[in-house]
Amino acid sequence: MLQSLFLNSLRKTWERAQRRHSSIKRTRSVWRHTKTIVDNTSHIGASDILLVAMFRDEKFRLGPFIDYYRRLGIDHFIFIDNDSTDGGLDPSLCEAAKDISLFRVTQSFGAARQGTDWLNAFLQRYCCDHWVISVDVDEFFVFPHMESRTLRDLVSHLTDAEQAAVWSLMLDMYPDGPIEDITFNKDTQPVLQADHFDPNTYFMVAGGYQDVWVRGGPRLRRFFKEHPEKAPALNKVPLIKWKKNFSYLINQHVVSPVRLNSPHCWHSHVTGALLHFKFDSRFSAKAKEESGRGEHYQGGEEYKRYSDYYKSSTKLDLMYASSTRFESSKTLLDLGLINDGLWS
Amino acid sequence: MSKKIGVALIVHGFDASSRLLVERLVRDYDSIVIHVDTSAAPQVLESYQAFASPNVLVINTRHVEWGRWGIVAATLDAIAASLDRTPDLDYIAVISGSCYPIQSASALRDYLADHPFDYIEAFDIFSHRWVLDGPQAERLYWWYPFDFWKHRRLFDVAYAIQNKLKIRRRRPSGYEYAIGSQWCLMRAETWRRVIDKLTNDRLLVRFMKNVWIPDETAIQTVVRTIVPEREIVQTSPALYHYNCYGRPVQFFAEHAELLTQQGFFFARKLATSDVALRKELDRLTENAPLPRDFQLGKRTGALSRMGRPTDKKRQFPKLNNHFRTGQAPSRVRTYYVVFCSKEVTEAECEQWCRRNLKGASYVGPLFAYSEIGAPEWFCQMLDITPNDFKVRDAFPHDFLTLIVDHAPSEPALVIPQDTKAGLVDRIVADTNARKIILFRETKIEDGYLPWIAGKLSRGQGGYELHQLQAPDVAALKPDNDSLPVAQGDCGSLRLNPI
Repeated sequence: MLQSLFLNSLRKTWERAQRRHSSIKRTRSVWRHTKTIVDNTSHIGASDILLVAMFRDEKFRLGPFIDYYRRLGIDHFIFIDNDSTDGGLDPSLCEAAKDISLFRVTQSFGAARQGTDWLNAFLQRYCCDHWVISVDVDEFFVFPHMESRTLRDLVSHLTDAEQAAVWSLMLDMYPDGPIEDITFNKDTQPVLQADHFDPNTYFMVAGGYQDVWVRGGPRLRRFFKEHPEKAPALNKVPLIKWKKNFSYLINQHVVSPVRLNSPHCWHSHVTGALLHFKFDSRFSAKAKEESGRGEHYQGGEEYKRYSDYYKSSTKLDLMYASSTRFESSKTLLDLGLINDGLWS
Repeated sequence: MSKKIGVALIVHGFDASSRLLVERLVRDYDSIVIHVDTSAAPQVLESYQAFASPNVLVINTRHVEWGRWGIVAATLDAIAASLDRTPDLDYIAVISGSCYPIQSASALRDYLADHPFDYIEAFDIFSHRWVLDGPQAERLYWWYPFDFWKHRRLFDVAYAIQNKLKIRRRRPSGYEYAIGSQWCLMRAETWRRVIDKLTNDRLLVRFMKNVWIPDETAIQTVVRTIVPEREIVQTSPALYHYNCYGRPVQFFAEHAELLTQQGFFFARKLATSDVALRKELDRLTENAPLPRDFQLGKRTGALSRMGRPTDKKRQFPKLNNHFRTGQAPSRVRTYYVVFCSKEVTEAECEQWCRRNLKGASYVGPLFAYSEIGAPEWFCQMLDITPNDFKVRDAFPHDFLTLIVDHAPSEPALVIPQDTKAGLVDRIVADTNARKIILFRETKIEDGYLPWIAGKLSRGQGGYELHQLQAPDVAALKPDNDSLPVAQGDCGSLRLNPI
């Protein structure tokens, strides 16, 4: 008994060491494929809150994205442009802004484990000992009481409560009506166009990294009823006080050390949500493109499903009986989808 | 005669909320002395000096570091400066930049006219547990040469070594050592005597300089020693609230109303950036009389829940897997589970449930083998059809939780004979499920009924047996033979001992 306990812990330590080592090794190759476009990282202050985001051909999202997170209290943005063909972020604009650094990576998205290696590389180089948000440009972070409190208030509370990471649920947002009726653009906050979400269709299973895998939402309801275990994961750990030995293992879903993955400890932690704006009139074209490109998880199988759907129909309406309108963080707090932990 | 009240303000930074604080104090109080940390940026000092009011004096004498003597020295300097400038002050309060008044100054004056005491927490350090999480009397026992924040490792090592060696520093005798919040409100006369002690008693000063967090000990000890106990009110005038880690809880704009209901004159810590909260407090309290039900030290409302763990029930995501956690799917509600043998049809089962389980809402065979037998409202709520059983099979716990939580009344689930065994095990383990076996068989052989009865008798919470017709149940026995079985008429009922 004792011996097996000891061997078990030894094995776990070994696995952890291997995981870390391999992820650090993988980041090395990232820099060979990286070109610095605008480097404002010298402006990063010691207590700044940072944001790392990667994008590809999503120029129209960047305006509202930067606006939203600037208002939230992000001090410096690090953007990873994966070979955008639409021009991406305007370098002259970044030069002027001083709080944006832009890098261009030419490596294949799939080869970099859906961008996980890029994230780790940039986080390790620029974000050690900072609070940092790692999201995609279609994800908007929401935390409890955000209407009256700032992100800095949140991280100071997290520091006080010895909470090193914030677990978040991804909420797929959709409009009231067919998604083809709206088009996200560079002038409007997407939450004004796609303001509905699923309040209750979330299903959970325990993962192997002290984590909780959540599946559900409109994508499970509409595309994955036959294979619910293949539905996209909705759990992420986007906000972390990054240390040099940390690394993401599976996108932002799982992070090492694994203790950061558990949403709560003996009492409730603060958890947040990521409003995920995937559904607009571009969705069918994107599904077709990505299913052909096959760079996403499991060869873009998810996108094949979406493009199959559009073979038989032209419109996609995700509304159902329980769809709820997003008003403020209080909507989510009342539904119990986010927690304020000790921060009431 | 109304009392003259001075304020000593200890600060190290300046922002929009500091401006509001100083302006409010200038409007309300008779003398304000601001001590600015010497290590603060020069602009901070200039910003405070820019307040052109004859009531304000800015001093800049000490380097203030958390947990060190500097903060006590700065307090004493500020008090001494107040007394020098305005010798006829009756009272002086000590607050910091993150405090704010939550009652008007006139209310405070009225209160002090009726209750002329010293307001300071000075609890006996050895017998009264004041520190929530961390060393208390140990603060006096040992030396603390290393900084807690900068050299945490060394601090801990030094602490552990001294603890191991059972070291006790010699304390100056003749003092009752006390501990309490450093934010206090005391009579000018008391302050004069405190300053006198803490400048002239070299032994005490030398001792206190090496104590851990002397600002919560030094002044309190002197006060407890020199002021008769009946003249000390053991309450800080500034409301503070700690979370379960012993760290201060911050207040935000939505707490304005809550703060004014508390039995204190100041509150801390207000969120540094929250100008709206301060403006709201100004609106609510400035020139307001003392509330009729004011009771010093009273904490009411939602305050007690702040910084405490929230209800586990509301925690999301919560794994509904009671295999792992030992938790039932729903802690709030009980529900009926009706196990049916093959000979009982679904219609009969439903009829029985509706007739016998009064007040329960009939759900149906939610876990039937290849379809979801759930009511329409449930299917609509989750946007599923009866054919989507794969979703249910992937997440059976969540389905159970959802139906138990959302049903209009206690739900009654039917578990047909062909349900997967794993799921039956999980329901058997749930103490909130009231289990009922419904059967018709007259001749019981090895098979489903003994199997399920045996399972339930070994499981949690017992079960009930109901036969639809033909009362011959003698043959039905749990397969472990340990428990007696119901005998008798149709519909007879027996509960296992729980």
